[in-house]
Amino acid sequence: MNSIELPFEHRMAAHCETGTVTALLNHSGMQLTEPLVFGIAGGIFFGYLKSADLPFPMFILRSRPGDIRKKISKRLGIKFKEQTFRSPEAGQAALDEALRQGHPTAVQVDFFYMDYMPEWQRVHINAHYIVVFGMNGSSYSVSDSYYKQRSQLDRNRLLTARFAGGMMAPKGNMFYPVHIPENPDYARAINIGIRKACFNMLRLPIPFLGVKGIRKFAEKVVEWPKLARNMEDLSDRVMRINIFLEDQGTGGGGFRYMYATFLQQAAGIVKDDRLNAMSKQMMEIGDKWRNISYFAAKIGKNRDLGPDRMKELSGMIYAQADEEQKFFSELYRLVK
Amino acid sequence: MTFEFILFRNQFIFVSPKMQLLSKNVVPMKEKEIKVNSKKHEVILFVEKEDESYAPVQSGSYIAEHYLDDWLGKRENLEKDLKEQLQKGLISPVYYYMVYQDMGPGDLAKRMGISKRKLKKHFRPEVFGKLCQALLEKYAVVFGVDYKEFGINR
Repeated sequence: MNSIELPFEHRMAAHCETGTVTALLNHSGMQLTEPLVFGIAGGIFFGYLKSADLPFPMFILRSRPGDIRKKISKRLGIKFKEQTFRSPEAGQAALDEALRQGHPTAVQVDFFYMDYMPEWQRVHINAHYIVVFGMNGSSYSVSDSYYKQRSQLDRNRLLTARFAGGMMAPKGNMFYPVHIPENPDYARAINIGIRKACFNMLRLPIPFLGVKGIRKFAEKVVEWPKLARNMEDLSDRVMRINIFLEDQGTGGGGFRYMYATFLQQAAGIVKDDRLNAMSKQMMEIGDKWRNISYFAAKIGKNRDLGPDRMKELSGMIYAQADEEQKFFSELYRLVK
Repeated sequence: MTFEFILFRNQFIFVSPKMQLLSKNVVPMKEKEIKVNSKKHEVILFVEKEDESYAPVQSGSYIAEHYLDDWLGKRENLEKDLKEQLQKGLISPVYYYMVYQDMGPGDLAKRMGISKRKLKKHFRPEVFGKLCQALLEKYAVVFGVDYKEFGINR
């Protein structure tokens, strides 16, 4: 097999999907920032999830995996070639062919199989995205926005990661841009992105999504001690609040800082100073999420997880729900 | 600072001095204050620069720097506890890896292409011991281990 190494600039990013989409668009000549991709796609969200598929209840802070690419494509008129496969062999052949044709290609994978990451970070989550930009007989060259340098991943390992089953199974999902519009209407795309984000946060009629999801989280977190195996498990689950908010590819403050950055950049594009003021408010909301995450990490480490402390944590989260309800209602009025 | 109770959603919530301190000193996301000098895990964070613009910076992870040892200690205890149960014949390797790798039974059953009910049977060591090699190899791929680590020689 001929080895291929396409020229591709590796950059770390806050989040894997927005980072991957941004890197591919930048590579194709479209100079968009990660916050703009996130904001135009209406990525900001909240959901409190509990299911047999999950070992413990968890919360999400962004829209469904895959939505960023779909929405950015629809709102800016970008065309991606996207494929999923039934057979792993066909999926691998299509990836090799895309590389031979000179396309750095994004693939959806189970994060657990990314061997270049430290073992303690690797968990089974099927919603991770990386860019493959080269191959030789035994491995692929990959750019993972969570890792500081380019890496090599064994061919079979990548195949396993692309065809892992389970929740949100990737089914070999891969994509790369094939058409970039010359003059996209950024102002319109920003407006739609903000409106959809506000709708998702305020008006989805589902009791565990959007602002209602934040309240559900606040209501349910006090029940976590009953769900945990023991004190150490509870401590681990509570400390993960910090990881979900800060460390797991959010840009800090549970994506709220990235969204504030989007609003600031959007204010410059649409020449609307009111968005600048909203971005400052969003930054403050991010600061408060950050306080929650620090508080959770501290009480988790100290095993200070009695009913009073959990109620205190719940109170902080309830206050965030009220803040976000107020914020998104005001933002909705601005863009309607 | 004293202990306080606040009325919140029709109920009194106890607010400790720690929480009062936290709520009064909101940690601002300023560039000069955010940088964590750690190589354990690096992340991109969006921060406020000195000129009040917001931009990404690369920083060490706060939680990895301050809490990783605690987390690794908990993992070690969990592993020890699970190994003990495994040696006593209370659980099978399937249950061991599922808990250790923090997977839900629904997710694991889907990855294996079997029902949850069947999966739960595989949690029992006596049922696990009778599994065919193909199924063991499939479990090994999902857990990212060699199937020989299950302790069954075929």
